[in-house]
Amino acid sequence: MTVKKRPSDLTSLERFNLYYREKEPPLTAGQKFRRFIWNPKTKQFCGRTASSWSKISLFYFTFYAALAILVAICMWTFLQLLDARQPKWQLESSIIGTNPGLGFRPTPPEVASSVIWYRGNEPSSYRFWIEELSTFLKSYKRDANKSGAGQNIHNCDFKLPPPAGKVCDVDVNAWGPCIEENGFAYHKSTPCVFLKLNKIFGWKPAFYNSSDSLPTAMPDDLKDHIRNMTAFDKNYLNMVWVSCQGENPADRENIGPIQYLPYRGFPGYYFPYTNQEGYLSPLVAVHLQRPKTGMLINIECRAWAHNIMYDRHEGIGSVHIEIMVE
Amino acid sequence: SPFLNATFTDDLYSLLGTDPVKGLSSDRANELLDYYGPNTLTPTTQYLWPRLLFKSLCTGFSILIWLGAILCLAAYLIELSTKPDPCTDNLYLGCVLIAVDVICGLFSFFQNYKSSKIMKTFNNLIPTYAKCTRDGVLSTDTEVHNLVKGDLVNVEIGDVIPADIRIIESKGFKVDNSSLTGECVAVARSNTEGTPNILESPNVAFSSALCVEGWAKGLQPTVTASLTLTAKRMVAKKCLVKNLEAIEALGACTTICSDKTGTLTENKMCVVHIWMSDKTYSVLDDNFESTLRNDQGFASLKICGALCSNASVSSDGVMRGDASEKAILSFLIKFDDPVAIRKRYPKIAEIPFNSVNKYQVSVHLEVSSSKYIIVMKGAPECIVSKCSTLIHNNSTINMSAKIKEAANTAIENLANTGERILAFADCILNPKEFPLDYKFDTEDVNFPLKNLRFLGVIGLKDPPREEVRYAIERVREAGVRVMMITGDHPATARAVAHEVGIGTAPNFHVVTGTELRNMTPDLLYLTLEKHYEIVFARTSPTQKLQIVEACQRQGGVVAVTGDGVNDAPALRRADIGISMGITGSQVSKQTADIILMDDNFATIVTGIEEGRKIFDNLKKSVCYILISNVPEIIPVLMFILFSIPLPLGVMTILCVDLGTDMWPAVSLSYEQAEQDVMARPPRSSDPLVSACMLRLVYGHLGLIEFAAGMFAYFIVMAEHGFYPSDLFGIRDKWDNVAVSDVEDSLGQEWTYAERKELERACQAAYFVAVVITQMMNGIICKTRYNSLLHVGMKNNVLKMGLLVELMLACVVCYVPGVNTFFRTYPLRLRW
Repeated sequence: MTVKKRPSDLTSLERFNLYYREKEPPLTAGQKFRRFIWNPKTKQFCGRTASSWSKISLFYFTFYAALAILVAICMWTFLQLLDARQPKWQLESSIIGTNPGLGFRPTPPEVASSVIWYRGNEPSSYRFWIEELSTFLKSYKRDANKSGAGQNIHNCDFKLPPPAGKVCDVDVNAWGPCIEENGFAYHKSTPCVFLKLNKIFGWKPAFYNSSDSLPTAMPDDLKDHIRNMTAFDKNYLNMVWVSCQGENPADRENIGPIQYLPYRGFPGYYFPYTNQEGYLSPLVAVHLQRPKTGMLINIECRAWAHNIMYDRHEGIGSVHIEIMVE
Repeated sequence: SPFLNATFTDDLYSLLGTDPVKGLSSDRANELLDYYGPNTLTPTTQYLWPRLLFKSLCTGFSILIWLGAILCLAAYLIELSTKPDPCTDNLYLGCVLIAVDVICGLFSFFQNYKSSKIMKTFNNLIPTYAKCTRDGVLSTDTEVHNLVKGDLVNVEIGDVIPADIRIIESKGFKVDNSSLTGECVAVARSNTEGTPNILESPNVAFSSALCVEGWAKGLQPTVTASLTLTAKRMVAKKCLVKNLEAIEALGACTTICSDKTGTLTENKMCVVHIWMSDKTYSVLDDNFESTLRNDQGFASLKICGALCSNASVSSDGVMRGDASEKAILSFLIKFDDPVAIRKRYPKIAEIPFNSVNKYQVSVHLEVSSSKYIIVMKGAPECIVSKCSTLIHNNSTINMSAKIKEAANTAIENLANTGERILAFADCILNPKEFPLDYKFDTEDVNFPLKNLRFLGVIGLKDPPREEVRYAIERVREAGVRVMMITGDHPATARAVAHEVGIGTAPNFHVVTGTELRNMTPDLLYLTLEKHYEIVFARTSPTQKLQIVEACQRQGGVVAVTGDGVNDAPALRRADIGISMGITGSQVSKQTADIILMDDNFATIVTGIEEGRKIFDNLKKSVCYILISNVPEIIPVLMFILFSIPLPLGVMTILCVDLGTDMWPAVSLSYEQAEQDVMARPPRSSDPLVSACMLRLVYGHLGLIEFAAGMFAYFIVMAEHGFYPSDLFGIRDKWDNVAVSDVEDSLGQEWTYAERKELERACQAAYFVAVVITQMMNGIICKTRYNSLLHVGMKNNVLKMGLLVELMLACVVCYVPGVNTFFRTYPLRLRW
């Protein structure tokens, strides 16, 4: 049984505490939130006073600034140690390795797609491809006599490799029908695709030194072509050869005859690439002369040299193109 | 059953082949034990281990992981059926997720299994003995599972009924059948006629199996691991932890409400003083015996003392019973033979001691004169008020107000020295009023309890334990408030409190049970707030609950010690209930979270220290694990916002989280306690993950780790030709399978496969940077308050953990096969 203590039994302090203790009415959630945002009693904003806020922001500012500066200094010193002209790791020591891949132009706009698709009788459908190629080839149209990059240009030949620091010119006009003025022959349903070998710093191709020791996997028409060319001039052996063919038997029937311009490969005097001023990748224009219309044609183009390995899965030494002309 | 309705207990005895006085013979008992098996319940709640395993494999978070794994595998199967050369990423991820799940599940299962095994051994450690008479000898240490049908069992207040028993003799016997029937009202049980319904039959008491609360909750492996570890360590220190979370709560404890007897003191009473008719005699005096040899008052006191004691002496001189009764008995043995006195005055009726009456009374027959005599023992103020006469100089005189006052001052003086005072009184009944065949009824008292003859008081002292003073000093340094709650006299309480250091100020506050009864909860709250050093004296166990509640209202985490039956509510209500292993009653042991095997207060201090340590170490582990979240999340944000190639893949994230971080995180819980662990105030509102810690973890350490990782990433990229300025916005081309010529800053063109390989190398660099900074952070996390130089690298487990982390990182990066699996790349040393 609880007997309530009479006020007279309490000490004065206890009585004081009982009656004068400050009793705060419980706050509602909204009031609590408002109190949290701005507490007029303690002059706190979001639980901190102005001086506390300024102190903490100053601390974080200095802390992050110091961290950023530290990282920046590390980064800067590191970048200073790097050569701006050549990569630190080259060829075997780099992940890029010694096996260049092939690239093609025009690039399709869709992600992860390599389909070139258009209607032969509908200019609007192939305007995109022509524009794409024009922008790509813009850098190739240059005047040898102009200053800047143009000064480096050297007219190369198999017998006249470029001296150090000079680059070989790529002749835009040697591509025959595959020139901008001709709309890259797209309107005739005979599209052109440009192939390029990936640039790898310092990479030199190991050429097939005789037309008799060509790999067995090489298509026969390319072998014949090489024999014809080398019979005419031994220097043509110094070439990274290119072959394109349909991937499946049906594709091989549909693809029709192919013309490679200006050569059936990349002339050896373009290599090695050493990040010269004004260097342009050599190009091979692949002109499909009579592709079957209304069919999707899978084409695989390969580059041929002793030191270009081939793996279709990994996309090493080859490129996959799909073309559909309607 | 046939013996339920046996009205004549004689039939029952013959039925069971037992004897109402001597009990079974031990041979027969062993025979029966072999025949019927031990007296235990068949454990039904125990899960078989496969079920436990299944449970630990499929709980909470792991279900999510299972789902993820199934989705991954499904995606892989769909890809397999639609594409000729499916990407193996999904297969790998699915496998890893399953592996993670299985490993985590096995780990937590193993932990649970181990701790449940430990808990089982704990339960076996709690002694469950029954008082059982066999071969005519009452032994108190018969193990409960050895009881057989036909055994005679003695049940006292606070005992758990050891078996289903038939009551043959009882006094105020009530049982709580709530665990069987759900009724929470105690039911009176005695030797009466049975009813057909066995549950309601008033002559049967059921063995009630109290369920130990399901403690095993799905805790994180780290938490469980460290708690189990500590529990094991604490058992070695005589502190049995029944509820694992109690250790952690003990670390946060702000108030300890301690018992006095047994916990703070040695619970070895001895008689120090005697007061009889206005004179105090010191027992330790040399001429004590000679002064009182022919004193009639002392003779009566001796008789009264011998009769009022339930303590018994066995033939070999070993005494059993309550501490103060043992003390009195051993005091009496010096002068007289209490056993002989008891034989001369056989007991007729008895009202046992209880905390409401504060006295015990028994009626005896004086064989020589055929008179009944009432003897009473109890708290002095209670006895004095019941007395009208007093024995003085071998004659009985009336108790005047003056004598009463003198008695009270003497009592007060004795009590002020911290002694426990027991007063004795007797009354020889008039044989005319109370003839020999008079029936004494203790339930409805029909004999006088007033106008007794006052004999004297005995002052007992229970010396405080030696180590307690130091322990209390340490606890107070740790900011824990120690309060003493005792049923003793305020003066005794004050003296002991002063002696052990609970009250240091000369006049600290002592609240008596009567004052407490008159207090409103508000007032009690205010009193607690006003006085830091408080001792509660003369309190009843129910008031203990009241005090605990008031302390909790103050926002404190309260630890309560208690050994009696009536302490059970307070123990349950307290945040940490502590029971005593030696003196504690069964019920209190079963309610408590922690049992002190040696009844020593100093053990609680160890508990607090361990609890704080565990919390510190858990914080360290959590901190360590959280740090690596930042360098795992921000790269993904960078990948999305700045379109750079992904700096850290899913596999590597998993690798950091579950591979390299695991061991160091667990090993942090092996850390030694920090030096100042006991000098800090208890954490009041300090959750495991506080805002301050998050700020430190995410704002500082995590960002540093991220900066280190990004730096490594940019270095690898730049050395291969992708300068940082060119990386931003490269993602569209980078991740496009169809683009086989992405140009870097130096004009080199990269195929898709080459790019992905470079990305793997960068991720590996990032991963290694994170692992190395995590190792640093592991060392940082080692201490929260002390400097590393002070602490040193003594934690071998952590050292091993860091080493393993490094080795694991190497394995992940360099071993062929493993690295393709985890999408990492052998880093070259020169990078």
